[in-house]
Parts: sequence; structure tokens; C-alpha cells
Amino acid sequence: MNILRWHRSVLAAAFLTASAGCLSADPSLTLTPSPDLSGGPGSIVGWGFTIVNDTPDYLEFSSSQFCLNPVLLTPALSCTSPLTGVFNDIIVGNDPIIDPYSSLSENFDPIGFTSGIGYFEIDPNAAFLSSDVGQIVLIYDGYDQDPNSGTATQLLFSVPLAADASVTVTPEPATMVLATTALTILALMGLLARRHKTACSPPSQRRGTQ
Amino acid sequence: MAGLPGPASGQNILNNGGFETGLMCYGFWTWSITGVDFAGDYQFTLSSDSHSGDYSLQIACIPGGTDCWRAAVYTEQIPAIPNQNYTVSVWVKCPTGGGGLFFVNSTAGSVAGQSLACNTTWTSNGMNFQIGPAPTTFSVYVYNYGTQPMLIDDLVLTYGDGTAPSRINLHPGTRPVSISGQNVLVDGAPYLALGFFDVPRSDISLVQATGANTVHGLGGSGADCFNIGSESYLDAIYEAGMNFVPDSTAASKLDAPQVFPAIMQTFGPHLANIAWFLSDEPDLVEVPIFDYIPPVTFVAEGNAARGATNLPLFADMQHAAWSVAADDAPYAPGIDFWMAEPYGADFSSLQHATNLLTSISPRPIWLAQNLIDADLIVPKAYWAIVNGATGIFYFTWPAFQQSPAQLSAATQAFSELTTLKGAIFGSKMDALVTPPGGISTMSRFNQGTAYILAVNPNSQAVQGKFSVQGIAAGQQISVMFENRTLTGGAGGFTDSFAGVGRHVYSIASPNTTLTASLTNKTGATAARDWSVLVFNAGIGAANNAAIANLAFTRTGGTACTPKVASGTFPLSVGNLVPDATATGNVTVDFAGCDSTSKFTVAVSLSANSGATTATITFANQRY
Repeated sequence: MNILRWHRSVLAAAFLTASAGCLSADPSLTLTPSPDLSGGPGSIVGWGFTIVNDTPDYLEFSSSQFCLNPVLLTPALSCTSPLTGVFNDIIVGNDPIIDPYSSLSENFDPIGFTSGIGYFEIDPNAAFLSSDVGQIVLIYDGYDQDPNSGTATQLLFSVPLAADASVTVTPEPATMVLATTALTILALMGLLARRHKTACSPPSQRRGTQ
Repeated sequence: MAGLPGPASGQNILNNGGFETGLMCYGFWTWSITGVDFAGDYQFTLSSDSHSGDYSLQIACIPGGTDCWRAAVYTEQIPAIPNQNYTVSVWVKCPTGGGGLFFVNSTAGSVAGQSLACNTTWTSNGMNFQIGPAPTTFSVYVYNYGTQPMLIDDLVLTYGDGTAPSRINLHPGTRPVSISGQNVLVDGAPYLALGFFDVPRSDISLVQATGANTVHGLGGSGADCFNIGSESYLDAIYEAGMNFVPDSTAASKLDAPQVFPAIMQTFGPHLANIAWFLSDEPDLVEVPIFDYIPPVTFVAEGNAARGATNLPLFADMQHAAWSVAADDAPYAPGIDFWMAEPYGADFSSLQHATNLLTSISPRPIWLAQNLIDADLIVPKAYWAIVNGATGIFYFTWPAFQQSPAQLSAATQAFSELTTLKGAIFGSKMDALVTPPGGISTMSRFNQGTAYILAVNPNSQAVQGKFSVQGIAAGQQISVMFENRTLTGGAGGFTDSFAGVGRHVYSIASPNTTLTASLTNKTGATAARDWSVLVFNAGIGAANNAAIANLAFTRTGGTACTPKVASGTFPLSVGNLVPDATATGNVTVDFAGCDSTSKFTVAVSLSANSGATTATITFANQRY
């Protein structure tokens, strides 16, 4: 085997390995900075994202939703809406097109709500420590060209892309101080009561007195 | 007494006295010098060296066998007429020096016996005997003692005067039975087989009273074997409203596929028969002579049988409960559906069996159950159903009859499962229900009601939420057989299991939840065909489901106005049971649009005369 043929073989093997990886790839969605968010009643929390498009298609999103577990993604998305608040879309309204074999990342904009995947308005009356656990589900279509080019052909239809997500309702900081204080007082009262009860118990109920 | 006069031509109480249908209507046994009887070295085969007909039965020590102490063939239990005189005769051929015994035993003890003469030629042996007043049944045994081969033929049993009743079959014929997917269809409907093994004729009404609908022939009367002058065993079962599964296990061990057409023709045509049990434990290679059948032989037997009957064939695969698929896969071509015997208190072996057999070939699965505490019988029966079985047989009726607690539990299982038969064979909606961890469920929809059969196979208590797509807060959930009602929350309900147990939830008139997906767009710009998949994601029916409208709102790109021809909506997609889909195709005129033209499309759905509606929105849609 001469050196040129050897190089060609190595390159072909490398290409096949890379191609095999692409064949099995699907887009992926990662919520940032964390899939699990928390906030007080009436507050707003939101997610940034990274979407990796490991496909040969141009991806465009047609809906985004927060769905409670268990989520039924197929044969058509069946989504149970969250209980502690309302999810609002950002990404679909911005309508980014994600090119083949590329990725897109955005941080959540908590001021103008101009970037990120969406945000969650926690109900002002939501109970402390209640939570919604589910998934953020995007539905995307795929095209052979940028659909804004005017000549694109649609290849993929209504494909779900999901990532686990949760929102937990926490006390507001001021409320937290009050709650912590109250819990501390209650705990101290309980401790004192136990000590008093132990001291007043008959000898037969005390340990180590026999 | 040798050399009795033969009976009048054709007179025989036994329907297989000449072994022309192998060992149908017989059992066989070997005794071993090791004390492990089935380990003896005898082999039972058919021989073409016959006294009459095509075959005789040969009992011989296998070549090189060292454990050939004693072996016998014996008739199944023959109904006795008290105080009746009988005559029995048999022809044997064995080398001088060989020997055996001819013996009659009854439920009241031994009745008669005599040695068999061996002189290298066919020799008749016979004796008269009288059944006493007490016995209900009796059997005739023919033994071979020692290592010399013995041929046996023309076993004839008559009354003492040499006569025998003619064969009575009050209900001949064939039932419409078939296999559809993983169900056995009987009379055109999915069949839930519930019953016992080894049911004496005298107990048929008792078995029927338990709610059983099927009697399994293994261990009892394999088929219509005896002419007794009154309605046959099968007639009695049929007239009790039950069905029967004939058994050819003993015949299957002879390595004689050629007799199976005759077996089917002789014993198959009766209206009580709904399936045929080809063999018990053919895969038990650990018991080579008594149980094991090489797959090639087994498949040949099955193929030979199929050519002469419409009855679906099945067999009990012993390895299925604990071994690997490769053990049982070679047997699959010989049968039409499966049986396994995951005995005992262990729930995991049942799941192992159903998963393994389904992985080999998805077919109906019936299960044998035994060695099980009474308090586990009901939950394990549900576990069987939840894991895909459509038949449960308890082994054996006499054993269960002697245990009131077990019999009561089996009766409860039969009663509940019979009540749930419509639900068990209803529309699948498993994807719409997620049980708490550790709980297995079967979710079905039948006649407007959603059913969830839930089983906890473990002793650990479980409390948790059943997530149910589309269930509304306040929905009432009836817990069947427990006189309880639960109130659902949005998306599910909560319940608990104290340990191993079952709960059955029924939800009447449940909500319907419709959703949709755009699954294709084809055709010319001026006549684009949009495929809209409509999905019933709730646990209620969506009758007369329809796409009520597609509304387009342009949000960018080249200006244009999509048009849908008037009269298109509502576009019916039919009746959708829970978890069902249908696709409607809408033609849209996108003249003037290009792929830069973007729309928000609102897909409006309706069902149940407008009581159920939904609108699903898709942004950024191109033509």
C-alpha cells in the first residue's frame, strides 16, 4: 500500500465515522442556566437555551409550551398546562432559523423578554413550595434551504424537541425571613417542651434510671 | 386368563384400543432404579409391526440403557358402571424371556391382574373382572418388566357379554375459532379463557359454578375417549356452557407426526373444542424421554395436525418462565399460540414468560398457575392479564377443590375478570395513563367507560398519582369490587396499595381531549394538500371528530391570502376512541405565496356534536 492510498483510506474511515455520527443525530435542546427554576408568587422566571442542530436541515419553530409530566409527544403533542403559572413564548416569536450542523444559544432576557426560549409568570396566589414539573416542548419544521430564501422545500413536519424543566414557588426574601424566624421559634418551643416533658416523666419512662 | 373370545367386530369401550392415534387417551410412566421415576431408560414408540391396523405400541429399553426396571401404558380414567362385569384383552408380542403385567385399577383399589405371556409371536391375553359398587372410574395398565421390548396392540374393553356401547357424540361439529393478533377468537369474539386442569366428569357442574368457561384436558380426559352409553365427557362440558381443550401430550412424545391427522380427525370435531393442546413441556430437555421433544419433531407434529383441524394449536413452554428465548423459539412454527407455567408466588417469572414469548412471536398467551397462596391468586391473575395473558388455568381442579381458600380466590378471580372481559378486550389507551412507580397497569376503553387495571406485584406499600391524559378535576373514579370512589384532580388521581394487590378503576363518561399535528404538505402552490393528523389524547370517545377550520394569519414574507374552498369544513375524520388518530386532508390555494410567506395557522377541531372543541396553533408555517 503506497502512502497516498494509505492517507485516502484513513480519510475515508474518518469520514465514515463522522457520517455515522450524523446519521443517528437529532437536534438537542438544553435549557440554561438551569432547567429547574424557582421564584416567588407573582414573579417571572425564564430560560435561556442552546439548540444543537446535528441534522442536514434548516430548523424553524412553530410552537413552544411548558407541559406537565407525563408529556405525550407523539403521535401529536398533548400538553397539560402548568398549575402554578403561565408560560409565555419568546423563541417562536423571534423565529430563528437554525442552519444545518450548527447551534444557537441565547440567554434569557429578564427585562425586555427579547431573548431566551420563554418565561414563566408565577401566579401571585401560588402556594409556597408548590411546583410544576414537566418539559418545555418545541415543535419544529425542517427545510432543505433557509425558508426565508423563497424556494425552500419543507422536509420535516411538526417534530417535537423537549427538555425537562421545573418551576418551584419559593417565599419572597422578606417572607422568607419571617418564615425562618417563625420556624426557629417553633422549633425552640418544641425542644423546650420535650425537655420539660422528659424531666417530669415518671422514672420508669426515663432511660438509664433503673 | 389368556385367549378369551374376541368381541363382536368394532365392539370396544376404548376409542383408541389399536394405538392408531398414538397415545391419545393414554398415559405412560416409567419407574427407575434411582427412585426418580421419569429418569428410567424406557422409550415409547409406534411400531409398524402390528397385530392389526398400521401400528402397535412398543415399550423398549433404549439402546445401551441400564435403567429399565418397569414401564407401563395406561388408559385414562374410564367411567365405571357399579357392579358391571367387564372383559379386557390385549395382544402383545415380546421375546421369550420378556414379561409384563396386565392390570386393572380403580378408584376403589386394584381390581384384577395377570402376567403377560411372551413367546415371540402375537399372543392374546385377556381377563374378566367385575367392578364393585364404589368405584367411579378405573384404568387398564399394560406393563413391560425388564429390558426386552414389548409390542402392544388391540386393547379391547367390553362388557362381560362382549358388547360395548356405540360412540355417542351429541354435539359434533367445528366451532369458528381463529387467532387474531394476540387474541384467540371463539365464535368471532376475543376469548378470555378461565378454567382448570384435570376435571372429572362428576365435577363439571362444580367447575362451571366457579365461573370457569374452559376445561383443559391435560391430566384428565384428553378427549372423547370412551364409549359409555351416555353423553360423552365433551357433550357434558358443552351442555354446561363451557368449552374444552383436548390434550395430545402423550401422543406427542412418540415421535410420530404421521398419526396427528388421524388424531385430529378422530377427536377434534366437537362443538366443545376451541383449541388443541399439542404438548406439555416439549422444551424440557432436562427430562429427555418423558417430556422433551426435539423441535423438528414438534414442528412436524404441529404441521401434520394443522392439516386436519381448524383448532388453533398451543403448547406449554416450561422454559419460558425462567430461561432464554433461544430455548423456545424453535418450537414456534409448530403452534399457533403460547402457554407458560410461571408457578408460585413469584410475579417476576410471569412477566419473564410473557415478555419472552412475545419477543419470540407476538401471539395469544395462556398461563397455567399452581403452587400459589390463596391471597396471591387474585392479584396474580390480574398481573397475568396486565402482562398480556388472555387465559388462566389452575392446576389442578382436584387440588383447588381440596383448598377452600384457593377455590374461593380462583372463583373471585374468574368472577371479576369475566365482569371485565369487555374492558380487557377494549381499545388500548395505555399511552394515556402513567401509574405510580412500582405499579403496572392495563388501560382500556369500552362502551363509553375508561378502565385502568392496576397491580402492585410487590409487598412494599405504594401511594402515588396515576397521571391520566385529559382527566378533569372533580372527575369521579369508581374503584370496582371495593365499593370506593375517588375524586380526580387535573391530570390524574391518587391512590394507595397496602402491598401486593390490585385496584380496578372505571371512569364513566370521561373527558375527550383533541389535539393535532401538521404531518405533510404536498402538491402545487394553488392546490396544496395539507395533512392534518387529529389525535384523541383523552380517555373519552371523540365521536364524529372533525377538522372544523384552518385559519391563516400572515405574519411575514411575500403578501398573499391562502384560500380553502367553501364547503370544506367541517371535514370529518370519523369516530376516535382514546389514543386513536385519523388524518384529514385540506386543500389550500396558496397562489401568490412563496416560502417566505409566513402564517400562523389555527387548526380548529370538534367532536361529540360540538361538546368537545380544541384549537391548536402553529406559528411560522410556510405553504
